[in-house]
Amino acid sequence: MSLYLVTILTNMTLISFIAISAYLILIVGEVSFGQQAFFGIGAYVTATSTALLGLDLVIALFFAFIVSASFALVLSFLTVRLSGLYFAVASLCFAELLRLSLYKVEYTVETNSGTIGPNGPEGFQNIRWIFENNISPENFLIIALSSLLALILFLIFMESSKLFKNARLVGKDQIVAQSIGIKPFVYRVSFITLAGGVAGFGGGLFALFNTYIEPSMFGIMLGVHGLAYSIIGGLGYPLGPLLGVFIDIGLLESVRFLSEYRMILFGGLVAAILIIFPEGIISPRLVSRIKRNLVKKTNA
Amino acid sequence: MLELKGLKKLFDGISVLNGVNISFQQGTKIGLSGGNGTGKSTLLNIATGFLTPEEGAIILNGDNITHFEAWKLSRLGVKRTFQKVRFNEALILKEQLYTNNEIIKKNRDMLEGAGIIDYLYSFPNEVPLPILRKIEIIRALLDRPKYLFLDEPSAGMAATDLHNFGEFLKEYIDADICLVVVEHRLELMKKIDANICELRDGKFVSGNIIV
Repeated sequence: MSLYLVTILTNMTLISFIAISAYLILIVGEVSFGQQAFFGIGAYVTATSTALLGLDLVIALFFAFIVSASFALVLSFLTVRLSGLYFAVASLCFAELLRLSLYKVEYTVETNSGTIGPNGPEGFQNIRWIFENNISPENFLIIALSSLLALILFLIFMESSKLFKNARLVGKDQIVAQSIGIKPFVYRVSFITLAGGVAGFGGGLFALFNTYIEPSMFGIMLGVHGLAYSIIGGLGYPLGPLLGVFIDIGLLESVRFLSEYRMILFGGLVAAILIIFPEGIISPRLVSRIKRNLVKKTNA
Repeated sequence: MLELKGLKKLFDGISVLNGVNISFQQGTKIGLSGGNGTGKSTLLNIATGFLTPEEGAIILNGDNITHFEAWKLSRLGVKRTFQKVRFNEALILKEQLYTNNEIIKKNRDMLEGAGIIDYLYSFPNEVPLPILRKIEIIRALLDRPKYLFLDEPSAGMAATDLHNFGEFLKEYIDADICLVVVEHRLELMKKIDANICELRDGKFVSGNIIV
């Protein structure tokens, strides 16, 4: 496989984590414009864990998950009374607050291979984990892809659980949810927290792959893309966000010759897909129809 | 016993309930009637935790539960249906019973008797309204409520449907449930032999009613 293709596939895998985290929040009926911040926190935590503290990959990514999930937990408590537009704005503010705070985080250490540690606007340089461990780009892709696969399989497995069904009901109609004894608060908090952790995990992989991170990488456009992918792909099934990523990055990459016009195409594509598939391609209704047909077939 | 004591509720300064007292005893059937805007639905919303009153208390078996949220009341066995049926258009009805296959199997007789078994794999927009209303009630019944509030269940139903619907209520609502029907038409309440209480100007017409 060419290095170009490996890089594109790795980027698609990494951004899928943001798309899935946006998806998890959309399931409970909210729109978050702040998932990039959790991605960024995960990236900084992983960079610190591996480069400064010399921790293992698994432990570093575990920390990335836990720390970003904790920040998301704080967000979910702060926004407990907000929904719709107000939650969207609050999540964006929270994300910008965290991102701008990173400009002030400075803790650097000089080593033989250069300066490491967060250095305000200059970012965190020399995250040398992949070099130190001799990880080839192909092998890194395998690590990232298998983590994503594990996450997707987990979500597919959970899809038929009471937890996810109730969460979807909370997202659709809180009044019905309450009338059958479901406490919306619990589902909101747990899904926003889980979403933060998933974004943070992806951010951790991103830091290792990129070997250099800075606060400006975690701006709102990253979150907006993640959100757009899950909306294009559809909220019916965990594969939706992946389909969104695949369509979009696949297309954006194949039209690189259009250079700066690519983003115009991106906007147009999102609009066109949503006109044809108002609820995304893998919509909840489509999934229900397929399930119903499968049941009919097995009964027949 | 579920007791509402001295309930007052204002909407934008306009008094909707003005010192309402009523008790709901398990095993009774009550019809709440009254014209439009007399506070029937408000009373139902307060009794089931979807609204909180400005003044007054809600007492369940001696415990003050005035500020309990709706989900908590639902878990305590105080359940409701909606004036306009609320279903997710993208899910088949079986999924919207929010219960497991075991309970569905156990209650197969009821689902068959109510005539809804053939609709379980349909989407809400493929199903007539009386069936949807029954499904909302069955969703509540499968969770064994102690108090069941129906908000205008006859709205949009033809006379023949109404008869069938009344029979359904008589047949499948257990004797130990307190059934409260909020309606401005009396046919259904008479059909199920409910004690009828009338709200007017935010109060019960014949004073405080204990049933």
